[in-house]
Amino acid sequence: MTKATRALQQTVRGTLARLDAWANALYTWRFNPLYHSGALVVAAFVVLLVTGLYLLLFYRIGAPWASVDGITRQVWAGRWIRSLHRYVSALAIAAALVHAFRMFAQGRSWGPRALAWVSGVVLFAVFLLCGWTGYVMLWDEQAYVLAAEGARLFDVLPIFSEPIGRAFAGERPMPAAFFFLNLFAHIALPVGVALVLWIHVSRLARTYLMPPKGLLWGMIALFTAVSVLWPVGMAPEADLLRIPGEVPVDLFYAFWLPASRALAPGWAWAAALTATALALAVPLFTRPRPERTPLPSVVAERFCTGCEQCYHDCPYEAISMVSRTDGRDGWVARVDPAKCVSCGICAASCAPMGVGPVGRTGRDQLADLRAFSALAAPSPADVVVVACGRGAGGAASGGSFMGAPVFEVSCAGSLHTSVLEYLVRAGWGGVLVASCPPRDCWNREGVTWLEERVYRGREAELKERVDRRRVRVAYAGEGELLRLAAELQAFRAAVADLDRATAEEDILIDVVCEAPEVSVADEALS
Amino acid sequence: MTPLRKGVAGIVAVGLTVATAALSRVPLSFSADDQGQLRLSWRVEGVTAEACRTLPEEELARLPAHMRNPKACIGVIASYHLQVTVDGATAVQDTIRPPGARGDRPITVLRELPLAPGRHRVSVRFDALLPEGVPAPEGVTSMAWEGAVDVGRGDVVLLTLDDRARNLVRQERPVLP
Repeated sequence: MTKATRALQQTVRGTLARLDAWANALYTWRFNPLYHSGALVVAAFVVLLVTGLYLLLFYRIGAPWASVDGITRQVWAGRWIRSLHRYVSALAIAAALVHAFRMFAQGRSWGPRALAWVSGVVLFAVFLLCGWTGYVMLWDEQAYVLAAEGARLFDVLPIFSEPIGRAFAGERPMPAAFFFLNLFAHIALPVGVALVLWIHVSRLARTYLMPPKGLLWGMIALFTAVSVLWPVGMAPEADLLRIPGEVPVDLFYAFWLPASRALAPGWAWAAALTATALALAVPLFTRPRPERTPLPSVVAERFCTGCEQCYHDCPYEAISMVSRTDGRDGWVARVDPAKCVSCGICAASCAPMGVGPVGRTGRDQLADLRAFSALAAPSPADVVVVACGRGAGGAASGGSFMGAPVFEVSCAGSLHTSVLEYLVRAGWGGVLVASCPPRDCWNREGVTWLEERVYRGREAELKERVDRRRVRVAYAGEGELLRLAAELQAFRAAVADLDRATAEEDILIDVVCEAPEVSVADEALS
Repeated sequence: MTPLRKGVAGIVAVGLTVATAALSRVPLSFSADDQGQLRLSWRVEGVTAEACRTLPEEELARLPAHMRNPKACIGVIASYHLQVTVDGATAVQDTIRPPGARGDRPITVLRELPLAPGRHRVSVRFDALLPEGVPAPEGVTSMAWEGAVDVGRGDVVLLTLDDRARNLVRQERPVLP
C-alpha cells in the first residue's frame, strides 16, 4: 500500500468515525444508517422494483413524455409513487457511496474481498446506467441533454457506422423503437443488478440484505412523506430544435454531465476510464506488503474435536469440515486460505484453541496475556480494558485508558473467552471489553458472536464459574472515545459496589484438549 | 434517549431526506451564453465517378490473354467540401471523406455552430470533389442553401437534405406522424 493510499484511507476513516459518532448519538448503533449503508442499497432496490412495476403499467413508448405526465397527474398514486421511485434511486447511490468508502477505509477491499469490491464497482456502474435509461424514458429536457451527451460521447468511438447523434438532430421525431430499446434496457439492467449482487455477497455467510425493520420502514415512511409533500414535477418535453435552458438535473446520476459537456469526447472518455480503472484497482492499492499481510487461519488437527463451531461462526465461509486423516473418527476443520481474511473469529470459536491465524489463536492470546499480567499487576478494585484494535473509541492505541491498563486484541470477535476468565480469576475487579458496535464490526459478525459467547452460552462460552458482574462488553465506534469513557466510569462504579475481588493462584484454564504449550503455529509448521 | 435528542434525530432525518430529494433536481443551465444554434445534419450516399482510358496495343500485349480489356476504369469515391459562411465570414471550411475502411460508406454531416440571437445571413455549400477530367456522375454532387435566418435565444436552425429536391433545406419542427 502506498503512502498516498494510506493517507487517503486515514482521512476517510476519520471522517466516517466522526459521522458514525454523531449518527450513533442520534439513532443508536442499531439504527445508524451509516452502518447499514449496504443493506439500504438493497432495500432501495426493492422499493425501486415495486414502484417501477406500478409506473410500467402506465408508461407508453409511443408517447413517453405524455404518459409520464399522465402518471404525474394521478394525485392519489402516480405522482408520489413516481417521486418515491426517483428519490429512492438517489438514496441508493448515496448509500452505495457510503458503503464503498467504509469498505475502503477499513481495508476490506483486497485479497479474498477483492471479488466483492470489484463486483461492487460493477454494481455501481450498472445502477448509474439504469438511472441514465430511467431519465431518458421521460423524454423531457433532462432526458434530451442526457441522450444527446451520451450520443456525443459514443460517436467518438469507432463502433457505429454512422453518428448516432443525428438521431437527436431534429430531422424527424424520435422513433418509438428508441424508447422501446431504452425501456428494455431499463428493465433488463435490474436483472443484471440482481445477478451481480449475488456475486457481490457470494463469499459471505449469513448475508444481511435488509436493514433493521425500524430503519427500513422509517426510511420508506420518510421518503414517502417527502414524495407526497414535495413531488417531482414535469420538466418541459424534449424539443430537438431548442437548446435546453435551465434543466433540473439529478446530481446522483448525472453528476458527470457538466464536466463531460465541458470536455472533448476523447478527454471525457479518458477521465471516465481513468476513474473506473482506479476504482477497480483499489484492491491492488490497498493490499498490504507481503511482509505485513496477515496470515490466514490454520487448524491444528491434533486439537480439533470436529465440533463444527468455527465452521458455523466463520463469516466468510472459509472453513469446511472434512474427514479426518489421522486415524481418529469424525471430522476436522479445514481452512481455505483463498477465502480466509484472517479475521481471527475462529480463534474465539474454538474451545480447545486449535484454530486461528498464526500468532492470534486462543493459546497465543493467553501467552500474550501472561506477558501483559507480568507488567500490569491485577488490581482488585479496578478494571482492566480489553480493547478491539479496530475501533472501540481508539482505546487500544495507548497502553492505558483513563488509568485502566489496556490489553489489545486484533478484533473483539477474535477474543477467546479464556482471556476474560483468566483476567477475572487473576484478581481484576472487572474486565471491560471495548468493542466496535456490532453492525460496524470490521469482520462482520465478530462482536455478535462475542456477546453470545459472554452472555448466551455460545461455544466457546465464558465459563459459568466466571462472575458475570465483573465482565462487561461496551460498544464504541472509533470516534466515540467519550462514550467509552462513560462506559468505563459506569463499570468502575458498578465494580466498586461488589465485594473485593480475590486472586487465584496457579490459574488453570480448561482447554478441553491437553498440550497447551504447543502453539498452533508450531503445529502448522510440523 | 431524551425527547430533545429524539427531536433532533427526527429533524436531521427529515433534513437528509429533503437534501437527497433536492440534490436529485438541481437546476443547471445548458444554454451557453444564451445563444442559438445553426445545426447541419444530413446523410448522402457518396458518388462514385469512373475515370476510364483506352489501353494502347503494346500495353494490351503485355497482359495475359484473359485480361486484355481495351478499356480500363478506376472508380473514384468522391470526398465533399463543406463551406459555411455566416454574415459573410467563413464559419466552416472542411473536406469530408467517405467513412469506412474502403471509404465507401455514406457520408453523414452533423455540425453545430453557435449563433448569437438576431438575424443572420447564412450560406452553406456542399460540393463533391471530383478529379479533373472526370465527368460528373449521377447522384448528389452539389448542394447549397442560402438565406436569412432569425435566431432567438436557444433556437436551433436546422439545415438538412430534402431527399426529393436533392438539395439542402431548412427543416421546420418535425411533426409526429
